Amino acid sequence: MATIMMRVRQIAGIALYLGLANAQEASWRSPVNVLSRKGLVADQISTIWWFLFSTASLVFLVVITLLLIALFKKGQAVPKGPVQENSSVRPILYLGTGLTIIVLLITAVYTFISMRTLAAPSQKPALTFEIVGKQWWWDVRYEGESISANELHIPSGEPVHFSLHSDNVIHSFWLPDLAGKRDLIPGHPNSLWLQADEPGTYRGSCAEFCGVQHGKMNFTVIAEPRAAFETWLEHARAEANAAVSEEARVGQAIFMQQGCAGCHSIRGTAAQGEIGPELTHLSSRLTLAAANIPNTTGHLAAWIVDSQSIKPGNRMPSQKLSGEDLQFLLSYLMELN
Amino acid sequence: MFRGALIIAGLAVILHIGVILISLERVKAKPPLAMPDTTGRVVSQEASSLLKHYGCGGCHYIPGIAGANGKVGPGLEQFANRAYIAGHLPNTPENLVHWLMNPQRLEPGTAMPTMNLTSTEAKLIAGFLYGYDNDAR
Repeated sequence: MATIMMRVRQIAGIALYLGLANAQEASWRSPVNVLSRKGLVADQISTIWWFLFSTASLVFLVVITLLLIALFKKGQAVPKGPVQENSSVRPILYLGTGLTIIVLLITAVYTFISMRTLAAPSQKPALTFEIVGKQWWWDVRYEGESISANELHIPSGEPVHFSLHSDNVIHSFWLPDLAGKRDLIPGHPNSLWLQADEPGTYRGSCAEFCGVQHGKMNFTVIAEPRAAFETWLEHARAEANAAVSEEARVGQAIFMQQGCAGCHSIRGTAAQGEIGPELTHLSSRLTLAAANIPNTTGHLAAWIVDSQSIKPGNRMPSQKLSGEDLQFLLSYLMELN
Repeated sequence: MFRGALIIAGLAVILHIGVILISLERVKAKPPLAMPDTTGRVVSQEASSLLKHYGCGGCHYIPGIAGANGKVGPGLEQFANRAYIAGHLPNTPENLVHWLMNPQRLEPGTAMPTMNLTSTEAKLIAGFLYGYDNDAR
């Protein structure tokens, strides 16, 4: 009995693994699922995948069965050489070719129909985000202005449009739980739409090798009801809070003097750098270093003083700071919520 | 020709079975609550997830914690054998817990930030660090 239960659990486990069921709670670091049905686009692609997989499996089984029958059947050997005009093998030839053509035609037509559905959403997306691929992080822009990095919110239950750009090498925007992937090509803006059916946190990554830290170029998409999304968007577009505590004020001065502002921007301050991610509401984000480490004080401190060990080759130099200055800087950054 | 076809059919079937067996293995291989690290030590999942959440490994080398290979601060191997914390506090459990909770109060200006650990969390991490004493190394 226990063995049977184990088998049942194992089979259920395979189903889970293949994405038939997904009970796991989503977070920015939960594993992605290429066969997920959490979004309109992902759902279509998943259906195509299962259709092709079952068709191919069926063909495979039939062919292997026929092959085995042929191998083990005792009987007259088929004469060598080309098939003769009135040979008994001829009907099999027609049947094989005909069936193959029919199956391929059905899959082709079915795929074309799905592609047509995927080409454009039924309602025009009300929102467009501009995503710029960097080495190795994602600049999130809205109406021409950077509003976040490596993290964005979208309203659930409606299509959202993404305009994809790169100013360096080719990247690829891949959000497996919600949609397929699309390349970000320098000098050739691309476009992608997707829809999250349910609120949730989804993990994305770069799917085109783009340099030494390609593997650590991830991002997080948080789908939430329209009202919550609008609150987020308004907040994301707002300028940074003024530093409140004395420590944070000293930290802000250090940020401007140390050179941080040369690469990073904090809207509402003198920091207008455009090389690194914007930091206006840094502490409200879930992660650091392109969705690789949680955004906590300890990780932030380690990232500032030794970013080159955490993500070797990235463009942020490890900072030489006194312990005191580091604390002031942390106080300032943690106030940017 | 017969042999060739049989080999191909056999290989195809073996491949199919192989894929199924591998997926069974992957499904079975659920992480246990506590697992031995590379040094053979059993690391409690609770302490390990706290260390990962707070980012201790970004600055410290901590054997047994995946990715904890920071070089900013001192390595934390065999911590129980240290005489001092931060160079001047005697290495007692009380001092370690206080240190973890608020390093800036004990040693203003040290690089280690105050990360607002609760005392329960600090005690769990302290227990983890002292656990190295049991090592055979």
